[in-house]
Amino acid sequence: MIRTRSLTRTFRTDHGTVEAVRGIDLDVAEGEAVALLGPNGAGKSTALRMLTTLLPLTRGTATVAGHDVARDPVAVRRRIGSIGQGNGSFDGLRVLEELTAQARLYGLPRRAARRRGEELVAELELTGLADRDVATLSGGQRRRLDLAMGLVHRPPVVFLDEPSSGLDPHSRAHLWAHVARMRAEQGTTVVLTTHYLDEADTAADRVVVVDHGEIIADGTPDQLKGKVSGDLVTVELADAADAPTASGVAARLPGAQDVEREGGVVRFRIAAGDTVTPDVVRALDAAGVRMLGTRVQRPTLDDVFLTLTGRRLREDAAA
Amino acid sequence: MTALSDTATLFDRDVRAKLRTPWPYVESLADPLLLLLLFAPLAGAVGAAPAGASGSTMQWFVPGMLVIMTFSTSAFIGSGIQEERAAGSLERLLVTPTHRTAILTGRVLRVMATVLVQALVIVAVTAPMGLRVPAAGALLAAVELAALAAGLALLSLAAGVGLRNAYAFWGVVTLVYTPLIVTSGALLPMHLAPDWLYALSRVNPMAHTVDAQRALFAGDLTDPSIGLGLAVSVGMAALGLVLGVRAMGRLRA
Repeated sequence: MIRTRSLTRTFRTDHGTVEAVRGIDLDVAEGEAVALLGPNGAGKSTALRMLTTLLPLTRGTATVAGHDVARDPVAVRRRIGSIGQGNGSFDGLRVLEELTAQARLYGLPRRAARRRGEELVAELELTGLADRDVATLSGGQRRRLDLAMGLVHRPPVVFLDEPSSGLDPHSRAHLWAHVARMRAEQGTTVVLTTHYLDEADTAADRVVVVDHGEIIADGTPDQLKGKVSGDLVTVELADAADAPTASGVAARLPGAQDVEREGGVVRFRIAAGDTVTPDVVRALDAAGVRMLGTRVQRPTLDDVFLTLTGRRLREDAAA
Repeated sequence: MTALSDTATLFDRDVRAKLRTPWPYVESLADPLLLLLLFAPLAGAVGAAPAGASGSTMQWFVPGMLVIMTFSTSAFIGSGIQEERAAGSLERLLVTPTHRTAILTGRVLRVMATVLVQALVIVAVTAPMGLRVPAAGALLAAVELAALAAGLALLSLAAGVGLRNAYAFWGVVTLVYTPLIVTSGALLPMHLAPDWLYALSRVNPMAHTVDAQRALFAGDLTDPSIGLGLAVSVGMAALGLVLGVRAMGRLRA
């Protein structure tokens, strides 16, 4: 459904040339949902803007829904839905008016366009808001309207550029439920960008990690998590003074690594953390260390990013 | 989709949006009416404009006020497209198959329609005060005002799309505003001006529209300024369209 080869975009700035996207090769199969994951400025949105015909390619090729984005942008536009980062609807217009205008721009006659708008109002749970000025909608409602406008022509491919940024958790969940339903009902191919790891994890079949304009990892969320060596085991000690002893015990466990201690807490990574926990507890007990509790966490995509780049995905995700 | 049907769709969308927020248009209507009420008697008193009977004052002032009204309704719409771009709704249009030119022409049509309604209001208010409205002349005057609106609106849109930020846009508008209004001859007759200023007014397209409007409301259909005024407006619209379409093509939303 999507195929790019050496997709490249450079920008000229006052400080010289910036390579925002450096030779990305990406293939997305029909019906697949792919998340582009990366920090701000990684080049995710720039790549998306080239695929949605908003930005010309500096080098390389890109085919979307069977058409070359550079040679036949209009054919691509007919076959894609694109939900950008901003508000697609404009203040002063009403929900149904914007949907009807959007449908007419895809070639539906006036009455059919209005009917399609009414359908989408119901589908995206905007019922009762059809005649409301879009400026009065909540963030979540406005985002669902953006999604509705992107789906007006039942496109086979939908692009979502950080669709949930600025939404509260409830609205985020709501939005993703609609995306999941659309995929289930219509087999829509989805490409999204996000810097929320949990979203990439739940909404996508495949995660493509982008950093400095290049793909640094590509796989299912589980495959990527496999790149991190083991689960994170956290042991809380009754007495912080035992921490050096406890970390010494942990370091001697077969396969344990990245042992850290912080006050009365010791953390380390170990393969199959669930099954080794009894051994951990026994070993610490034998060393005379009293524990308040233990916890085992599967690796997150944030850990994956840290392993791949040595940096956190988002500063505030460091907790 | 064709440029025509997209223009119709976007015209419809723009009309609906502006009907709900009509204040800018009430203002651009109030401004010329207030000038008429407050400035015309003053200009008449100092002998710059025909005073005497109120009828001749109206006859001299109203055509100029129609041009000023057309200017204030049309010349700022480039900022509207900048707002839509900043909000994200321009991007939403750009990823649809919408014809790029229609994004401009839909708005331009709406501005032309607004100008015609406002002109109707100004004429309706001033006719009882003594403005003579010869049928053929008034119809042609409406055509010329619409053409001027299209020219100003397209140039404004070209600037709005071509200039990246709002400061640059308003900078340009502020720079051209005073020279255009003063040398249009709408407020005081340009034949009173020194030669160099009069010469300057001849390169102001609006000065020709003002002359044409006065001739048309006087019922003098043979006046050469009528053809010149129309030609200048159409030329401006053509230039604006070329620049605007080019700016749309270069737009990186």
